[in-house]
Amino acid sequence: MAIHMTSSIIGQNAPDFILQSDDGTMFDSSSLHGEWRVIFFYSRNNSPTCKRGCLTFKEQYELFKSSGCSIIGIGPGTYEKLKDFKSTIGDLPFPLLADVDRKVGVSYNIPMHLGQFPTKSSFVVGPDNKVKYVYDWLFRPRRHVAKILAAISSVSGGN
Amino acid sequence: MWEELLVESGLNNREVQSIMILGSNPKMKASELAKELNTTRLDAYNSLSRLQEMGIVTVTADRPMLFSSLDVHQAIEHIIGMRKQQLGQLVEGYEELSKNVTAKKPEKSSRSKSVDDPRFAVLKERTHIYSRLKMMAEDADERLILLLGQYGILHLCRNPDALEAVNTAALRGVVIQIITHLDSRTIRFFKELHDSIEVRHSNELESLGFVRDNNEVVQYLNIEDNPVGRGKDDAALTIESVPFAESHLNLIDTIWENAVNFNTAVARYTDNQINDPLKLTIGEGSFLKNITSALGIDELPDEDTPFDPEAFFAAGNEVNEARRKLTEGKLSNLKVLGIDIGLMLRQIGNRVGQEIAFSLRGIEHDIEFLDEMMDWWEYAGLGSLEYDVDPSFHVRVGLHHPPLDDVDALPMWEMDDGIIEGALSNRFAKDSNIVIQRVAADEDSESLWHYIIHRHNSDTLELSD
Repeated sequence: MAIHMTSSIIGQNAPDFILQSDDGTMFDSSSLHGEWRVIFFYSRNNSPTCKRGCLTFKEQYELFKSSGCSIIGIGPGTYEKLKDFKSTIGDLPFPLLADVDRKVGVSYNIPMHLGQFPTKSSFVVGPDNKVKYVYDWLFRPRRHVAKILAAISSVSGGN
Repeated sequence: MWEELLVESGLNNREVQSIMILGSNPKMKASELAKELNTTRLDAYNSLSRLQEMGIVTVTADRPMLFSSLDVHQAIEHIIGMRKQQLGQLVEGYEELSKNVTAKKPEKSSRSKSVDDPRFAVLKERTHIYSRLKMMAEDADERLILLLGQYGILHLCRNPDALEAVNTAALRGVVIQIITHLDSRTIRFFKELHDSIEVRHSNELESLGFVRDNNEVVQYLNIEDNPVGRGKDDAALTIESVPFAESHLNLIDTIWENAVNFNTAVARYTDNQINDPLKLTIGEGSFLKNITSALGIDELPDEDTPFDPEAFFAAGNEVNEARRKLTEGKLSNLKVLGIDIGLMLRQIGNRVGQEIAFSLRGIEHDIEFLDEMMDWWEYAGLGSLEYDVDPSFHVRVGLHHPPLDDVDALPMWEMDDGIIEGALSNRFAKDSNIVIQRVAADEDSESLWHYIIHRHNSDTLELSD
């Protein structure tokens, strides 16, 4: 797929960010230091695959929770577009954040695929704030979530 | 008196005179009629054209064309029926609009006459076309075929007189066959048909029309886009010609053989699954040659085969050793007989893929469809599928059970791959912008082959989905 730039940050500190959440509050990633977390970036509000990705994280939320792992979703575009997207999904047990100018995406090395749209990428971050695992995905949201779950089990050693 | 009635019915004087003249003098040329009417040939043609569209005048396929008409009594009956139906539709429309209550509508009738020479007419408006069907049903002696396409059953049920004539014909023993393209919205209308009427579903036949015995064919030329409209723009060609009807019947009989029984086909909508019979090709080539070769007999029978009674009886008591070996139950034995198990398994896989695509037909977005199809395939434990978008979108196939050199191993991989092939082709075959290509992978690739989904005029933004 020729998209491996994101993997270059494995072992490095996960960049911190403060973004507006779908509930209108400001979310500060540093509040999760000391915890396992998954930060997943989706590429487009209202696309079926991105919607399915969010819903699959929701479906498997209890598994993530039982692993002591929080979930954060980050999408491009304005807060209003994020709200529109959220309204089509319904309640989520994790926050969706608006990366308006894609600065956070860039800080995580998420490339523009074919020069046109950002890859969907997910990062597993450990309690030490280091990036442990990266998975880039375009389609197959369920498989992507399964990969992340497997990776958490593997890199966290079940802790 | 008759003339006055016809004028009352809305015809002009020239049209009335045309009916009076042609009713008693069939097979007239337009020029002859013009002379009788004391008018120009163009005016005569215009009158004939309108009367044809109403189903009153028919024309032979001769050169020059010869025109005939219903007699005046039949013509008035025909017009009364038409007007009744139009009035019924008006009442129905009015009641729907004012009370949101559905009204009923009547129809009309006329008589047809015996056919000597080929005749044709263009019928316009659904009212006239279904009036003709009513006549055909009433005149049918042995067989009546209705090609109803996707919505024809709705139109038939909206013409109660035609429906009743069809059911009455069935009741008096006429064999009535209907080929339709089932649609979930119209299935309930088939209950209106008499039990003896056999209905089959065909994906191949979209055209609409009727065939009566081996005499008369009605072939739709145009149908209104809106299936629940009045059919003002509907047009059909009616042809009274034995050779034409017979050739039409031959074509229909072939389609009928391959069409699916109604109750089986309707399971698509009631049970959400495809239950159609699966017809397999087991192999190609001469099976006689295969078996003679397998039995070690080099010569094929021909007309000069000598008949020797002693050899004949002796041969009947021998057991061919090669034949005995074929009973050992190995797959390679089937191959020797020309039976290609791999081909059969691939066809089964294609059917499974077709059914998967059918069950996912509600998914509008192609990428979502692919996600679901690939997830199912992996979930079934058939292997792993990967997608890639470089240089164009494709799906890489990794089979859990790839091809083996063992000629006696069941080539299940053919079925596994056939599922993908069937699902993709079923989903995309009708989209002229998409081409599916199965390509062998490079030697250094982990996958055995991949399917490239070429999409013309593609919007790369779709890939961001």
